[in-house]
Amino acid sequence: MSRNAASHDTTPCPGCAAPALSRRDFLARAHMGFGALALAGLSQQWALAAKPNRPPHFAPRAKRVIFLFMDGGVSHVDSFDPKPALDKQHGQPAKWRPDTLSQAISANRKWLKSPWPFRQHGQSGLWVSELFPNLARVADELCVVRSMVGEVPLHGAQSLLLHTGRAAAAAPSIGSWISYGLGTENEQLPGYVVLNNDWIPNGGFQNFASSFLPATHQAAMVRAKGTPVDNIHPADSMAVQQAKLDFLRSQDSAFARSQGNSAVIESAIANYQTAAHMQSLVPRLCDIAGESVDTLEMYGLKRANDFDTSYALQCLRARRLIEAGVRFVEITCPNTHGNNSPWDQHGQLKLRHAENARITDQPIAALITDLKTRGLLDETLILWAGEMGRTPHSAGDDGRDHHVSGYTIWMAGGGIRGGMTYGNTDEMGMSATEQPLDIHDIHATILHQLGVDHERLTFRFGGRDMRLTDVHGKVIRALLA
Amino acid sequence: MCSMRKVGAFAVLMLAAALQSGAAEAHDWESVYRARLKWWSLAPVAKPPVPKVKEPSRARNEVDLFILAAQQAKGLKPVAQADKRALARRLSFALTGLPISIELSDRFLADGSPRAFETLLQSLMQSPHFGEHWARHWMDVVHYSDTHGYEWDAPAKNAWMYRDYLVRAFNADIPFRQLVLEQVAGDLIAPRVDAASGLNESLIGLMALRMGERRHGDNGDAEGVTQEAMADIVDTLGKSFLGTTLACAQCHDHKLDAVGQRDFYALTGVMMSTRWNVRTVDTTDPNLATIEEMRRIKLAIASETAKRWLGTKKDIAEKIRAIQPETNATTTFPESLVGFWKKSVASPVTPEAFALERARRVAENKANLKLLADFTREDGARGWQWDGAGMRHGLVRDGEMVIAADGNNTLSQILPAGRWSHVFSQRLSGAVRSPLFDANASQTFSVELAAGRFAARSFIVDQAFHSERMQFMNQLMPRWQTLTAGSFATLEGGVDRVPRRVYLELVTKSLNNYFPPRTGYGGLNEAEVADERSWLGLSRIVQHPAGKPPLDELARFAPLAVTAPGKAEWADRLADILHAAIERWSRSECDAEDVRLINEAIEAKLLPNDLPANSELARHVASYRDAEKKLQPDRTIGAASDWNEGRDERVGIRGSYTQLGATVPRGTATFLGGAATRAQPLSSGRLELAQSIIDPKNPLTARVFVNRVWLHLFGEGLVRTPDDFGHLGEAPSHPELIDHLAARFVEENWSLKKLVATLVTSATWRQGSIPTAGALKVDPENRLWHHMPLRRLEAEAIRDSMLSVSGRLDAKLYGAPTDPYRAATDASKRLLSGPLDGNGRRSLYTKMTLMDPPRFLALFNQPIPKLATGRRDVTHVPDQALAILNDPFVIAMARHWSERLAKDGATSAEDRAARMLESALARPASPEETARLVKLVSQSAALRGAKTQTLLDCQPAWQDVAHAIFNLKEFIHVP
Repeated sequence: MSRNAASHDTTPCPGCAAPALSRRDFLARAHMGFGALALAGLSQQWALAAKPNRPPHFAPRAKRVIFLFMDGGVSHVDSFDPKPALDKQHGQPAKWRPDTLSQAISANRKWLKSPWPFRQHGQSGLWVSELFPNLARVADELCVVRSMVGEVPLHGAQSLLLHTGRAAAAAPSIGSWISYGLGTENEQLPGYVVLNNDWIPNGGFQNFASSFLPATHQAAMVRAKGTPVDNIHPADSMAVQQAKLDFLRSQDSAFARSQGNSAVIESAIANYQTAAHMQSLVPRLCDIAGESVDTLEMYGLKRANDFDTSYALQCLRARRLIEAGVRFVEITCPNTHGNNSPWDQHGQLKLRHAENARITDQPIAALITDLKTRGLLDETLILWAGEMGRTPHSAGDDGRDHHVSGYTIWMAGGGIRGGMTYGNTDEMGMSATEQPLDIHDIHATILHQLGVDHERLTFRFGGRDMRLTDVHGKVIRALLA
Repeated sequence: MCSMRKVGAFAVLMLAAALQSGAAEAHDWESVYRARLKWWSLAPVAKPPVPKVKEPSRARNEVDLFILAAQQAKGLKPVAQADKRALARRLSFALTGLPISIELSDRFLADGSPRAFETLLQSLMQSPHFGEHWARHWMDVVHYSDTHGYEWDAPAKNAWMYRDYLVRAFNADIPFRQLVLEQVAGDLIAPRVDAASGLNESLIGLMALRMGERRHGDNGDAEGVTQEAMADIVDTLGKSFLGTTLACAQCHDHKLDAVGQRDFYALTGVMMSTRWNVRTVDTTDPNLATIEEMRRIKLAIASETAKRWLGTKKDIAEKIRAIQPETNATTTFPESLVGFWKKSVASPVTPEAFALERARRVAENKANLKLLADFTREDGARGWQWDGAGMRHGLVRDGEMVIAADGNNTLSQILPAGRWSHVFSQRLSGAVRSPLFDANASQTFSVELAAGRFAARSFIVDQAFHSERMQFMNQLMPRWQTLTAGSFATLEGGVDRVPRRVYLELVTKSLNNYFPPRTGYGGLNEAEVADERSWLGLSRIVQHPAGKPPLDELARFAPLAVTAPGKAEWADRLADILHAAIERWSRSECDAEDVRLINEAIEAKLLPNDLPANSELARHVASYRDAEKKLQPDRTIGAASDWNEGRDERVGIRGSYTQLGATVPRGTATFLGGAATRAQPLSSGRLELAQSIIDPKNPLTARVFVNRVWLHLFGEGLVRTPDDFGHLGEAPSHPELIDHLAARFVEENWSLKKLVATLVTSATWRQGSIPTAGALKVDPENRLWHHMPLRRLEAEAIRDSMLSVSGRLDAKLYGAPTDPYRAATDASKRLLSGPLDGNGRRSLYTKMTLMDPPRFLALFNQPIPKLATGRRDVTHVPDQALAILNDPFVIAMARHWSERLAKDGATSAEDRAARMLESALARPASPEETARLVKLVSQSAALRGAKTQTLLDCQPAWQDVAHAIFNLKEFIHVP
């Protein structure tokens, strides 16, 4: 089996120029060429089974989204939500107002101060801890929301909630909704791509699935290591595959004719054209050989650790995919040590939070900087979010548990106001006390920036007009630039 | 399903509800409900008259008359009947999911009789692959998977046995009515036994409702864990059997259908009153003869051992003396042979002190202990239940020996009277389960038990599937263990809650719902998961105040209180006691105190327990162990049981788990008759619920089922929303035909095979697949069946066709699933990779992991098994083309096929190419097609540098041909 990626091929990124075509008449039927950015709604190959794509409901501020999924739950009180009171009460028995979102108060739980000092950064004076020194440098781009409230302090439920707006039921992922609602800008590529780091988050593949939306809108998974996409490398040499495609063309068109020019068969035939294109396009997009040394260094691709370089690679690929017209790119975190999930530090907080931060901090900051330099940050909305925060208290001295009654996420670019914080938790970081938001509000706001009214983006299923935001969600205008 | 924890109101639906229900006032549920009962799918099934049509000769049976009548009303005509070859291929895929064999097809083509089609139908219906194919259809509906997803993808306990049950049931054409009873209440009806395997099929059926995502932990950890599972069960129940979205009423009365919120909680009450236990499903005992043999050998071992021990009295005293006694006086009162010896020098126990201590202990036990359950007698543990083949053979008297399963020892231990799973083998299973405890009052009790090899105990809170209160027990010698039950309402604050349901479960691996648990749990490693051995047993359970556990009454040491003349030496006195105990044991007259004494002596190595080489004893033990290997472990599966401890649920206000409204009597939905009088008043009501589903007065079950069968055979249902026959589903295209089929289905004893035969022998099913332009204009969606739609094969049939055509198919039925081939694995979630070709087994036998379902199959629309899916999507995406072009499985099948060609006796490339195409498409190749294939093989051979005269030997070129054929649209489409 051939495993030759197009790594020697130095054709520029397809978002910028069309590659030289070597395949003959079969491929020549591929109208428009690789680089053409089809408008939303014209994605014929990818949306054959879908309802027609829709134009935005109103003028969009952003065209696409990059979702940095901080799987397992970053500690808010160790990253973007400083709590001096925790320092003062460190080691004291912890008491809080009981609620169904939080765990039981027990005698052995004590307040735990952050091991990472906080400082203000940028012109905006945004608070960032030493956990994220590189993000601190782009503080003025970040819009930090400190008042997120979840539904249940469990990974699977929260992860599904974050992705699909539902803690339990099998609903489509936000990426699928956006792909469905707006279509892809490049008909040769899927609308929703997950840059995976060899780890399936809690909640399983459902996090990335199209559920009741047409399967076209399901995430295409791109692996960090090895073959980036299933079956993308041709099993045959070009010449042999071409011989087969020639045979298939004549044989299949005869079959289509014998079936009264069946639309089903015609679309199956068309898929072979797209597939043939993807074989060269996707590896080229995933291949970063043409990137400058400066870029590679900025993203941290020259770092020594395997996890570090994988994550950096995926961040750089995210930019390339965005440039090529993918609507929604998600990057997952690598799971470094067989934990439940990467950021889930019930113990070893200092070691593992620092490790996760080391892996992700530099590439993410580089991605923001790179997009900005290329003039793409304005139209690319970045969401950085885990499914939960972590408890300000602990039963030990180096771990924090699941926490959903008040935690932090941030956004950047895409018409979101940088250098601001929104909402607040109480002085210990327990509950969102000011301007509490739930994930549906974030979903509604993201859709809004894409020109989509979250109440009007619906799909009829099981007799209901289903929405990403279910019956919830409001656009948070204070977050908009 | 609605959003679980929040207000599930939908603006759009409110409006729709208001419009459709005649703007009834929302609070007047009664009148709304009565209005909603007037709905086509809830009306009784009245067998309608068969319509009169023009040109009745076009009809082959009554089905056609309904279809023709509707067509003629629109001026439409059916297209001509399909040709015989097309029909044969279509029928084979429709009935078995496999391509037709050349032999069967040839026989059909040669059969000139008017009944030729029926003959072919009979052979395909009698094929065991019929059951496999129809099992898979039903597995979509109950959303079958081998694991439970969520965070750790814990296994659905032996779910594959349920898959095999379905295969047997559909092959044997068990009436669907019976299958409903079994899948809802199989534990509460007379067992249906599979004669060949001795399995209790009815119990296996219960796995149907357990499928789906299940969290670990329980309501005591996070409120809602079980409620979520129950909502899934109610959802599946409603959609699968009734075509009704019952779970839409979790948060409010159903917006459009005749389902009140109270109905949802009535049904939840039934499910919450059910224990979701793993159960043994054997109805016969295959081990009786072997166990008799083992009993005989054991007698010989016992007598050898007695001889040996009785002859070592002197050695015993010597061995005791060799133990270092304590030189300082201590105050702890001794409780063992060794303990008494150790104190014998510095602070010997005086007869007075002994008598005082013994009296104190007897008195305290008498005051504190209340016997809860006595497992030393058949009838002593009222309210408790045991299960498992080990336990069935495990009721023993004091002194039963357990022969060491391996190693160089004779015995593991001597058992006191009680019930023990490992009397003969650690591979036989055992479970002991308690009645419900008072969950609000903390309750302390002690169990006299021994257990090992990851036998577990857990308090099951609110019917949790995967309790993380589970603890593995490892205690070789029987001792008291103190446990505390109750106080599981751990959340503080003012939340409303109902009392928890809590019981204790002691289980060996194979009867444990949560075994294997998530990886690494309790120090378990994967080798220990694979080891089928596990054991436990117990004697008594006593309740007592906290901190007042049972005290050892020391009866076995009573002789020490009487100083025998000439026995000042403690070692001799202790040896005497032990010797007397052994003597009683050898005469089968020992009691629990003797057992304890002997076990103490074995533990302290005072008695020989090794196996001297070449001894009689060693020979006996070896033959005992050989016999043990012949024992068949009992077969177990996640099922359910009803302990007559039913309790009604309270309504969750707006679906909340912690804000509760009125209590609702448990039972079936109001539109099926509501809560019925229960045969067992305290039972869950599951039996009555199952009966309401198959009640002849319930029109839904038969209607929904015949529509499913129609959908599978025709590609689209008469109702195109097979899981929703309510107001939000689609209206039926042919309501009279559905009723005709439903009535006939019931008359024909709910027979799937008869229904299938009726449908496929119709002229409608046997039409050609090319519509006329005129018909498409009138009826573009083909709702009137003016042609038979061309269909893409289902995912499994695509993969199975490749296996079959390449010659790799292993047609074996049944068995544990095979992991799918995975490019990336995750051992921590047991997402492992299996062989590329799945050992040639049909796709049905590929492991369905909820967290990461088989990708090749998912790509071709095998549904993610989280929700009932009566109708699969059929999408066309480029990933599918990429898969057939490049997936290593497809390439491997092409290679396999090409390698077999070496022996095909082909005389020319033309000859071989034509035969390959025919075997793949069940029709002869035209000369033009043959020429195309020969061109391809020549090109490929040339590219590989092969010479023309050796073309037939150029395997890689023929692999290319095979691969190209797999890529044909005709290969995966059926006209």
